[in-house]
Amino acid sequence: MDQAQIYSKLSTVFREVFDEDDLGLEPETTADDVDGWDSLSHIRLVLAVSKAFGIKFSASEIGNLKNVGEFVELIGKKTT
Amino acid sequence: MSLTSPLFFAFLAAVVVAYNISASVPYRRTVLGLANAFFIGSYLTDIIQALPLLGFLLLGYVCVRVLEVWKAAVALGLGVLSVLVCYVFLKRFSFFEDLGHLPFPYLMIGLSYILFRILHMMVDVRSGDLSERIGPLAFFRYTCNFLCFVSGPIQRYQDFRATDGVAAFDLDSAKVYDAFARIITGYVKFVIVAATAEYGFSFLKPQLLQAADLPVLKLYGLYAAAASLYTVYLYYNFSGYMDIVIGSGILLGQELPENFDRPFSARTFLEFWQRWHMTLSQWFKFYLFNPLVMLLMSWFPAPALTAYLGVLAFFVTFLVMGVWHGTTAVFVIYGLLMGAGASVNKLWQVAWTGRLGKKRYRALTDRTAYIYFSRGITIAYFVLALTCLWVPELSDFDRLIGRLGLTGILGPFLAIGGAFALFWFVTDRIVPHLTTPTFLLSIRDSLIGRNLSLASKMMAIVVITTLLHKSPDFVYKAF
Repeated sequence: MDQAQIYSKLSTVFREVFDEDDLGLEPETTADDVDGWDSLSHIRLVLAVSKAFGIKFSASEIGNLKNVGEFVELIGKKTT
Repeated sequence: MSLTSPLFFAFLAAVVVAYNISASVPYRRTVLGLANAFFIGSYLTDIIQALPLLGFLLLGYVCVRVLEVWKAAVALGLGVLSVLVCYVFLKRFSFFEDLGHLPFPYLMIGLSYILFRILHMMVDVRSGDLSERIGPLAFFRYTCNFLCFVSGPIQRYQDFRATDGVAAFDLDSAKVYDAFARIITGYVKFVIVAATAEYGFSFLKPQLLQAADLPVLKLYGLYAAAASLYTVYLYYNFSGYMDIVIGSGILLGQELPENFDRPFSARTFLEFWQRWHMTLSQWFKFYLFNPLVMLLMSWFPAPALTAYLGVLAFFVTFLVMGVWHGTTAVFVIYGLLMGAGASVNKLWQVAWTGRLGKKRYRALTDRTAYIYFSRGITIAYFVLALTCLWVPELSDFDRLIGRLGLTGILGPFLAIGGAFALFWFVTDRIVPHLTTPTFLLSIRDSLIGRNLSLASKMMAIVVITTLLHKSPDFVYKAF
């Protein structure tokens, strides 16, 4: 799966989790840029991403994600 | 070995010199290993006192090595359980007195933080985040790093490994100055600010806890003053300790993580815990809160339940954190109070976001009055909840709360909250307008000015230590 496909699929998951139809993702997007992206919704997001991509994340992977770019990179590693 | 003892200064100087004599990695690792052993040995009067610690380390090492080859969930569960049982037994928790205890005095300092390091290694080895084989000496250098032995910070093994005796480390004059500046700032906090606050606190506490009845206003005033002074003491003692160990780490090529990020500027209770004792908060978030929330959400996937599942997870996490702080029932109360603070904060956010919508709620939280009001109540709540740490016996705690009553808690709460809100309001309004004349800045930043500044701080440390006639101890050593 290439990065464009990951961004496309990830955007759909983000829009569903944060209930915002016009939510756009950039590599630099962080929790501060998305209304409602807090520690609890982060876990809901990780669960939704795990289900959508069929992958699992470890404790430190979940806790150390800094922005969408890192998230995409991590998904890319796990899906190849 | 106390951080303020001449022995520690001599020890640190010897370790730094020995470490930097050669760039050989095996040599530097040997120096660090011996330094750790000497540091731990300084707390012992008999070698037998170290045996429980050695046993605990051995158990942890065996668990880590087993998980390298057997990554099943049951292996992790059994490993975590055995390490926790051993820890609880050695720490002599009052809830588990029936377990009995070893019939000789032994070293308990460092056990709490070694526990976090071992559990982190076990979880990360099992998940594959930590894939390299960990040797017994590397395990010892990490779990018993003398800089972090007493009270952290809790560094991840992966980050420790990146600087463990590495040859690329180059100690130039700028790094040495930064290290000394950080260490001396730490001693200023530790020996001057924290010790002075403790002096005042130790004077007020007996009056507050005495059996005789006090006039109501005096009682409330004493409580507010004692609680505030204890908070100042705790913060400056702990953050001063961190400055000392982080500065010392620079001299040994170690990049230790920060533990504080201006916690008293937090606007919410949840933000406060992202700024206070950060490595502990992060550890609990990674290894307890997040997995617990994931588990709960997989059981109850409805999005509408998110906040309530979070509340449950906050209570469990802070309860465990509270019990970790001490071995009496008051620490359970401390954990519940912290869990209640985090839960109310989260439910408040959810309720007002639902009522106003995300944008209007954000606009509300950016209003001046809202900012200072929330800062005030956040800090006041934390200050009063800390009472559990300085009145650790349940009978004393019960008597104090009984004497204060609701008014005696609410009054100091409003007074402390108001004082903090006013302090931040004035600080935010005045400080940006203060400018230092250019010539003073150039003097301050010159070689002589910078060194004079350090020298004057050292003189102040000597003067205050002499005046107070006591060498302060590190408060978190007890936890």
